[in-house]
Amino acid sequence: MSTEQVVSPVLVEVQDLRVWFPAGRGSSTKTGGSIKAVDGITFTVQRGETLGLVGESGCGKTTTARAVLKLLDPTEGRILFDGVDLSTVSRRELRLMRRRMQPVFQDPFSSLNPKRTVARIIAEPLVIHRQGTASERRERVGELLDTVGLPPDAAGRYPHAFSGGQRQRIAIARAMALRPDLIIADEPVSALDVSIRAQILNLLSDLQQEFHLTYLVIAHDLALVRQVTDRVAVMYLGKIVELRPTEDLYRRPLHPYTVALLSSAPIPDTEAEATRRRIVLEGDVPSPADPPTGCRFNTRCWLRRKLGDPEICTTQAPPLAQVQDHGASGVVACHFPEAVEDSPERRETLVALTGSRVSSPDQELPD
Amino acid sequence: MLSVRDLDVTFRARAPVLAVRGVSYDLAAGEHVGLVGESGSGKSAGALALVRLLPDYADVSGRVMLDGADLLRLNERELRAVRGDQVGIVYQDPFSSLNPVLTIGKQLTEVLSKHKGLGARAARREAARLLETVGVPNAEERISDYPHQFSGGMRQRAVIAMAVAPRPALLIADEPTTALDVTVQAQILELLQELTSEHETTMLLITHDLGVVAGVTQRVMVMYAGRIVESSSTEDVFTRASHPYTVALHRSLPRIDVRQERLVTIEGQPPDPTQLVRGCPFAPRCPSRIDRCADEDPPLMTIPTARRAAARGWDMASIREEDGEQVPGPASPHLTACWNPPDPAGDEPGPAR
Repeated sequence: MSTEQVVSPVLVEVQDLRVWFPAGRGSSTKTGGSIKAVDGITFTVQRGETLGLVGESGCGKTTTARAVLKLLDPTEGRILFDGVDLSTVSRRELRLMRRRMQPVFQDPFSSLNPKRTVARIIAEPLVIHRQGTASERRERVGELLDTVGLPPDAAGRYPHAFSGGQRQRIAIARAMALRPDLIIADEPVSALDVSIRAQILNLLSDLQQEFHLTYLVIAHDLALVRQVTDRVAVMYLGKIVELRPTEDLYRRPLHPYTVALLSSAPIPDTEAEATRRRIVLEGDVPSPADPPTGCRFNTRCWLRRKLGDPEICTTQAPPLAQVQDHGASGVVACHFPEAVEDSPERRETLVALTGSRVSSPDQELPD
Repeated sequence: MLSVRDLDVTFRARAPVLAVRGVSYDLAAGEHVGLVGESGSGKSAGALALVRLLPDYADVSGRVMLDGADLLRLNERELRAVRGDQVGIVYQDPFSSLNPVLTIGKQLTEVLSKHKGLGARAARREAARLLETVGVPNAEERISDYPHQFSGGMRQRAVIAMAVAPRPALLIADEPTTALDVTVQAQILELLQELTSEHETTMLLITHDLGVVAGVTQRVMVMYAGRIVESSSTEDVFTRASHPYTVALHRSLPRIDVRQERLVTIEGQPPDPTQLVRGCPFAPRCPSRIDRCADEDPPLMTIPTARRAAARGWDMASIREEDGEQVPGPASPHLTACWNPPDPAGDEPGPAR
């Protein structure tokens, strides 16, 4: 495709992405009301890394993923895949691009066609993209089944014969069929049983190593996100509020919303649960059709109340500002990140989390 | 207060599904007890069977004694009085327990007039008060909203208000927070905790999430393949788990406090619920399996008894003699259904800590 040049470390670049949906019947984004599902976000996904997108329902994380897959068109902004702007490419080029990014969905019960054999399901992307002859495809299906840890005789069976975990393996095999560079996984294990989740996560991690895959993982389970990601973007109401290397984010969160999320995460430890004080966010997430002015989190922010309601929180949207932390850079969108750092709320939250299990040598207590 | 004996639930199908096998336990008034298990473990079927809320193709047998009456032998009319009045239920999906074409207020007042005999005006006032108690802001206005106008968390609050309105003695909460966001999840658990403590309501909390039971319950029963495999105080389940399945479950949870090199898995799958299992249902996946596990399904016993029984090859009859009839209840000791329980003292691999 391209002459051998210096390969950019960036595989996906999202620039000021906005995805607005018309609100209500007959209206359009032009004439007025719109749901600002994603409202101006910028981030990159580096080659070979796993970037996590976390946030509560309605924060825009799934919409972001769909826009990157070009399953929907951005209202504004650009998405570059391997340096190429997806909105300007021809249909033919888009087809080529699409081979290189594959989705894995949450629910393996609805994402697999029940009337097709496993072989046909896995071979489907190959057929659509006209790859190989029938016998080559058969061979590839066999390879893929082996890659995801399914027996060869699975090929002739139908999805209903498989458990949730095995079905997710089938879905992963299908995603791998075209040897993609990027896999976008939307809650890949949340529909699975606890005892099966680790199997699938380990499989994804093995595949990443073996095939140098890049992952964009959307998840709400913060414990899981810590295990599988290199960097995490926390979203709230259509915006990224914090994007940092994973360990930095969990050890030294800088946005009040990130702290609140960590504080809400259930800890499987009776003592920690009995003694911890949670930061309880008041009310609900506001409507993305009519987000608060200034910082979008201001209506529920525990820090803002503590600081005596500074005016700036409701008048000015905080920009995503660079932060340096132990030599690693990240971004956070808060007017008062130092106040978060100094707060007893953050300290208490981190102590509850780190005290939840036996601490390991590399574990540092928050200062 | 509630006493369940030998509960069996079978779903009739071409291949009948053996969902619950011989489950027995007692709940004391005011207790909060967690029923933990994965999908297909029988935790929901077992709980819904108590008040006969399962579909027609479910066969339920055993005894469920509540206030001297066997719920499995009541007629429809008596049963309807029990549901609501004595037993409140909160489901996972708040949408499924609300009528989409009636306002929240209408549904609440209906419950209040039926179960508490309040007049229209008093019921409406009480409904608004209840909504306020469960943390719905502007309750007076929002009472005229329809369920779709409520957010997921608010809907679950409304459902909880309806469930606790008649002051039931027992509240069955079936995955009450699974469909909710984490920040809302914490609020709802706190609310359930508050309301049930206030009225000394007994709560049976059904969940797949060990993290959820940690903060809210005093006792936990762990289910696997339709059976209770471990029962103890919540603290013991977390610090001294004695059934290999519970131990494995703990280990396979991703930890939020530290990044692990590799996640620990439980290999294999739970047994096919349409097949009768010989021996212990966890044996094929169990790291501490011994010969006996393949042939005999272990009953719930104390840990010392389990060890002695395995070492000396006791038959079931001598276990019963030695151990008495072991039914999980408020005063029962730490029980495990395992012939070779890992040593909770720590020589053998136990759960983290």
